[in-house]
Amino acid sequence: MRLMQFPEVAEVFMKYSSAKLSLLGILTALSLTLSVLESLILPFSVIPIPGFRIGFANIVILVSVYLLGALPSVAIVLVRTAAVFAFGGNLTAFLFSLTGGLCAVSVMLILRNTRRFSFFGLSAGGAAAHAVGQIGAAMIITGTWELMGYLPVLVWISILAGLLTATLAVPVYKAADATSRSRGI
Amino acid sequence: MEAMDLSGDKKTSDLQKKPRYSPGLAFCRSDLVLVLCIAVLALFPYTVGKYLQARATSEQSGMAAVLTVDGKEVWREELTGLASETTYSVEFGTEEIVICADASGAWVEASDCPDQICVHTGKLSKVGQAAVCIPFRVVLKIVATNPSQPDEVDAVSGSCGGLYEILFG
Amino acid sequence: MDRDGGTKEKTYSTEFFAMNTVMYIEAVGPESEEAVLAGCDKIYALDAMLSRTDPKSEISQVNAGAGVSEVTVSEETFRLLENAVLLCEDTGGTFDISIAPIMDLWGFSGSEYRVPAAEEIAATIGFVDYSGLILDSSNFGVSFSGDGMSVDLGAIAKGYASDCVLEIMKGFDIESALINLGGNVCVYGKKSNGEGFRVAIADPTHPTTYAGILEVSDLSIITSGGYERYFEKDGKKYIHIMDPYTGMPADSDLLSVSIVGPNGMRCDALSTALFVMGKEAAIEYWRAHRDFGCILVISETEVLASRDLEGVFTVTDGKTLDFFD
Repeated sequence: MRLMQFPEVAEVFMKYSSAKLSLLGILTALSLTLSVLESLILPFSVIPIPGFRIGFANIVILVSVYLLGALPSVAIVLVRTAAVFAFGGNLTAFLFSLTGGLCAVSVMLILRNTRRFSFFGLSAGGAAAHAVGQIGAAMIITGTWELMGYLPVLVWISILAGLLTATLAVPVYKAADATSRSRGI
Repeated sequence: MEAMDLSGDKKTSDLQKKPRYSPGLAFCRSDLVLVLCIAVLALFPYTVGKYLQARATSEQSGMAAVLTVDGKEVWREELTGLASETTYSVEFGTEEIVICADASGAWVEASDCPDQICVHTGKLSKVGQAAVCIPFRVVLKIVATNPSQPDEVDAVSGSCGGLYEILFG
Repeated sequence: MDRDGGTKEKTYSTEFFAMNTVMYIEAVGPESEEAVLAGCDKIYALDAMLSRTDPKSEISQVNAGAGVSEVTVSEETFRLLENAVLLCEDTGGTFDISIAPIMDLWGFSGSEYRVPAAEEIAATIGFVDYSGLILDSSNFGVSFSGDGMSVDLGAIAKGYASDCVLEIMKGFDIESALINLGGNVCVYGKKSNGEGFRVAIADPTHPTTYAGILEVSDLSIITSGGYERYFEKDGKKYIHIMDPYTGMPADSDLLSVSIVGPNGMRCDALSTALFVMGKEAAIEYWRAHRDFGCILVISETEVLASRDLEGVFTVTDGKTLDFFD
């Protein structure tokens, strides 16, 4: 890749072994698949925000913040959001997913660093941040402060969704962890 | 390229440089505290909103439906004492959005937007409620008013009004 | 749409974009929706017929060919041109539909505003003469006495449109109607509470506020003023209302003129003409006719109105109102 000619980029890549990079690729693809599957199964008219979902794709982010670190996790969020948009998305849904996803991963990283919370805390916090990020973006874009009325219900549902996601993420993490340890990363 | 080199050297030094995070995999007490805090904090905007709404409603005895495009008001209809059902439609090029109002509330009757969220919101009957059409950046909301406004006019001759500024900037 | 519920009166309104401005039509009554939509269709049809920017419109075809040979138009367009010429005569040429070449010179037809040189104006002003418009009623043919002439009906199009729309709407079962075509207001009937419609006159110095309020029914209220469309160059302001005698923007001592009357097209033409005439001539013109209401905004605080509007027109706080007889 031409990008590798830039020393800064090569440096970043060199910090990761190729095994890690392939794990990154697999997780990104997995995240994208989950995202698409989820939007096919759940109609979003239940909650009136385009792009609002339970967030099964966050299973991947949960795993990746522990297994791969901060930068790859953020990269997964960016690539996944861009890919979903490229697959036939709605500009507004893209913007909301992006703000939501970035808020979620940031909160997860902060919570991870305190070393005080388990998967469940991270997931609940991340999911709540995702919802707040989405509503915040919607309020700014449309200039309506009335949308704040949706916040409580949305956040509570997100917390529940986050707990569910964490439950599902546990076996995934265990498997990925075991595999990566055996590969020596 | 060096990145392809899987020799032990690079890997062990990597592991030593970066502390590895091991997640707890069970729900613990800190998590519960966190969840409860978030749940309570989420109530905050709701209670603030409700308080403002109640205060606004008690000060004024009437309500009106207001339609804004890009944040600018283009249509207002006093609802208290409205004798008949009123319909208002706006066209943006080839697309249209239709609003209906009567004495008890206002709603988006039809819209050409792809999501139809605004239509599904249903009837707005309390001050502070709103229906939003994000693709058109249109908001229909109920506001509190003082119904006895002496200077209300039905039309202005010599000025095109809010929609003109929105269309022509 | 569930319309039943025993409400005899239903209000239907719509807002859309045509003739380069925002149009608003509202009606109250059992057939309000049908009436409003029919009015809407008529406006689109008129826009297609009269627009100078659409090369397929009848007026564009007239402008393209009538200087060379006769162009046949529809009866409606012909009658419209006939009445327009009568208005030109009546106002002594201060309203002149053949002003188009001058408007083009200043760039008001597109949006490439420019200040033409005196020689250019002198060369073009010869084409501004409504008597050069030859109308043959036997075959609805239109021709110009000279090639280089062209007509622009912008000064009366909206007034005429409101008359047409009102006629069409009256054919439906409605109790009242309010038509606002880019600031040209026409009201019919009374509101559901029995009162006449309250129509405000925009304050030329602060167009988002009012100079005064009229309470009327079954009339058109049309305002012209330099504050609506103009451009600035080298610190000077050039308004879009042209003086057919000088070929330059009208140098008027009036800020705006509002005409109140039963015929929208005439009100539209008069609002332009009286603005060009200036205060003294406008008052003289009113005295000679006395069959319309006239409001003249002189300055930020002074407003003059014709005596027949006493009792229905009030000014907003901070302004003085004097009537002339």
